[in-house]
Amino acid sequence: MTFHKLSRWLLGGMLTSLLVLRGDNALAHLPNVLRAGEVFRVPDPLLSFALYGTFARADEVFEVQLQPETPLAVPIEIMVPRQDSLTNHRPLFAIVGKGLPKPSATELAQLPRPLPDGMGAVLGRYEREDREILFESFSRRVLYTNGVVAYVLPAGDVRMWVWSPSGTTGKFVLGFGVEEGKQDFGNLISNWGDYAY
Amino acid sequence: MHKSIRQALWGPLLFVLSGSIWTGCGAEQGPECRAFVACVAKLDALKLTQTNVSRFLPEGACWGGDKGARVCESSCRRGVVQLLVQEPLLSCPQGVTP
Repeated sequence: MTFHKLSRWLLGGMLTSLLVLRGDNALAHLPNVLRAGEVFRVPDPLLSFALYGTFARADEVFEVQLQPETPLAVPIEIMVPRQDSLTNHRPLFAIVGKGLPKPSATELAQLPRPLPDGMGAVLGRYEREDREILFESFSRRVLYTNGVVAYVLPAGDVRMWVWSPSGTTGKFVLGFGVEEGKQDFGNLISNWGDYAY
Repeated sequence: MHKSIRQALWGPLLFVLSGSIWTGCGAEQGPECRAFVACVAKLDALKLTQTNVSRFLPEGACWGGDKGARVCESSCRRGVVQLLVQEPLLSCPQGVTP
């Protein structure tokens, strides 16, 4: 095959790939930015989300709210960029809602806020001391994960709190669901600084 | 059709075909998630609820690709353990894989 012919094939392939693998067809976690002190409301708990936040101070709490119509089983994990400076950064999350178990005294003491009346809570945990490492294909970064768990969320008012029990600061990502969202490249480009470390 | 046009069309055609084959390769529901779904059904019977487990069912989003399937299987394995901690009255087999 001549160089001329080969280059035509490659060019044709690249142009087609742009048309076929358009952003709106690529399924992924929908990315969004969490800010301390603001509530992020999940618009559709049947889609997946990657929620990016940064602890600037030790006492910050991030809150996510969702309203499943029925109890909902969903994979949830918390991740941290794999960087030397974040070796000890282990943010934690709690799922708070009606019908969840009443936390033990130890767990209550760990929560960053008092439980609302009538609500129970489930706390996330780190399965392994050395933490699993994964490659996140959306931001193309390597992350530590606490170990993804399929939780059953109750119907109605559900909240997730993220805090830093050891008072460490730095970035984290709260992963929710499995890749079910259509990619939003506008959001991706405008918030790339938050998504990629 | 002019020869150069035919040649230029072959590349895109092969790319589309290979893409179709690639995207058609989904994973199958794994044993950990089968066990998790069964455990959630027992929880529903106990609490008189109907949990949406659609992600984990054979046609669910978990099985669209190998990466998602791995994440779901890990989450289901730990999910059964979590359910048993949350609901002491529940009895489900766990630990399909060690």
